Amino acid sequence: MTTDEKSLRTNLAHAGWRDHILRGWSLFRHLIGSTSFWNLWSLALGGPKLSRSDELVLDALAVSSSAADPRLPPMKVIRLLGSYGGVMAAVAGGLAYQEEASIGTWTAGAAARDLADLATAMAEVPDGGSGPPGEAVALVLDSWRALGRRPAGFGVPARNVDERVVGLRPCLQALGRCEAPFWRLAEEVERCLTKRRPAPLNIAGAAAAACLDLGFKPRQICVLTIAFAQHSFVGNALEGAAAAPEILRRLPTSAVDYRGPPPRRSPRSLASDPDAP
Amino acid sequence: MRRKGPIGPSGATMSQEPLPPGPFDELSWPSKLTARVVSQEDPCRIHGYAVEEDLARHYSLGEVMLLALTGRIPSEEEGAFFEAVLLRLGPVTVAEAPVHAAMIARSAGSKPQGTLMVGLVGLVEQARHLVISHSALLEAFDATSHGEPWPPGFEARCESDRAVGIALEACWPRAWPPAPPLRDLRREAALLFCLAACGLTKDWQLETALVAVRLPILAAEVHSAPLCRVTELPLNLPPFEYEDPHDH
Repeated sequence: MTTDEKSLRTNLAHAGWRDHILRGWSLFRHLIGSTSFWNLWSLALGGPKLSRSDELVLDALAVSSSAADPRLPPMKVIRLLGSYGGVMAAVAGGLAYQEEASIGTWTAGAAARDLADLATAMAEVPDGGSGPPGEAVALVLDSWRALGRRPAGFGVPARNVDERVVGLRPCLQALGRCEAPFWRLAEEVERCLTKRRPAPLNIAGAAAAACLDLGFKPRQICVLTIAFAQHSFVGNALEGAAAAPEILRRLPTSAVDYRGPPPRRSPRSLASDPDAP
Repeated sequence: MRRKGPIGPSGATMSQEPLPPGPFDELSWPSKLTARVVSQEDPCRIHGYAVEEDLARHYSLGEVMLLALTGRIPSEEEGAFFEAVLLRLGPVTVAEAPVHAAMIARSAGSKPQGTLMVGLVGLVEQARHLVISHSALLEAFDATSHGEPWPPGFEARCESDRAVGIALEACWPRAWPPAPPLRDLRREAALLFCLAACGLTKDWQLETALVAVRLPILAAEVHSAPLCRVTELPLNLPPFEYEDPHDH
């Protein structure tokens, strides 16, 4: 194979003997001592350069979207897989199911895609900007509804508001982020949807809006949100693997209801011994 | 439940007040899991058939796999056909990403379970990709089973494709409607079509069968190699070329 035909291009990183390059920056000449954890993530994803205030937004998102209770998915998955004592397998299992799942970190990426699509569609609404606030949003949402499309990032089960967004909002307000375009758009969508039935902005929608306002793209947001959940993943994996509870490895028979086919005999069994019970 | 730690991360003293109630305290949750395939009471059964007294005595592993995936017990002919198809789908080589990745994991000092997990993830992704890339063929299953032509893009490319198709036509169960011209399909397309004919029509069924037959072969390949240092692996195969993003 020739290099031209088969070599793979990467903009991400290069390993050197004395230094390493990340997206064009030298680890030891440019980044060390001046680059925060969040900027390292953003560099890796090809995202924007983040100011200190931007980093505080990500800190607030990470804290407010923390959901480490071991009974919640994906933490329950992590606890089950960690019950044999392995930490990394448990973390890997928690991550593995996320792609395009309806519960978990990926939902923020889906919500970001919908908000970005909505903004694009609104720009194409004739005279969309001249009507009262929210008119263009309502028009686009009506057209989506006709197609059976509902924007991700709105609605919470078993409660009226997402307490995580309630906790996050003042923090974003203090950082001056509630006037940013995607946050305002998300709030407008919430208002429009709620006219029909309660659809409060949830933490996935909030994270999507805040990250879009920081300059991240939807596909980057899908994986950036993994960073928000990592502490919950590793906490559950570590505690779960250390405890390795037998009850999680196998529940007692009494905890399972069987609702499959009743006992029966196969054709070969019947042919070999028709009189057996 | 009460909070136990008196000091919070920020240094603030946490009160000893009761935990605020939440969904697990106030909502009603089911208290049992539901099983629909395996009953764990003695004797253990799969889809109602006793494992020890029935399946283990009268059925092969491949036939039980087909039963598990479809809920339908196969005839001898169907079981033999399914195994003939699976056998041809099994080989996964070191040139393919799942084995290649598992090899690297092993050379990096991973324990057998870590190597196996890497291989398993790779096999699942490989199977998903294979099924997606044949979705047009699989969606046309009913039509092509009734004599419609194959959808474009899956034509046989060489004599070995044709040979596999001819072999599959020869062992096609006689109790089924006549075999379509499998010799006109490329190898993987013909094999996936045959799995669908065995009743594996859903993505999860096809992907499970692919992973199940490939995992032992992957594990054998990975563990047959002597342990080597990472520097003895062809890590630059295929070569990567770094391009500075600032140059654009």
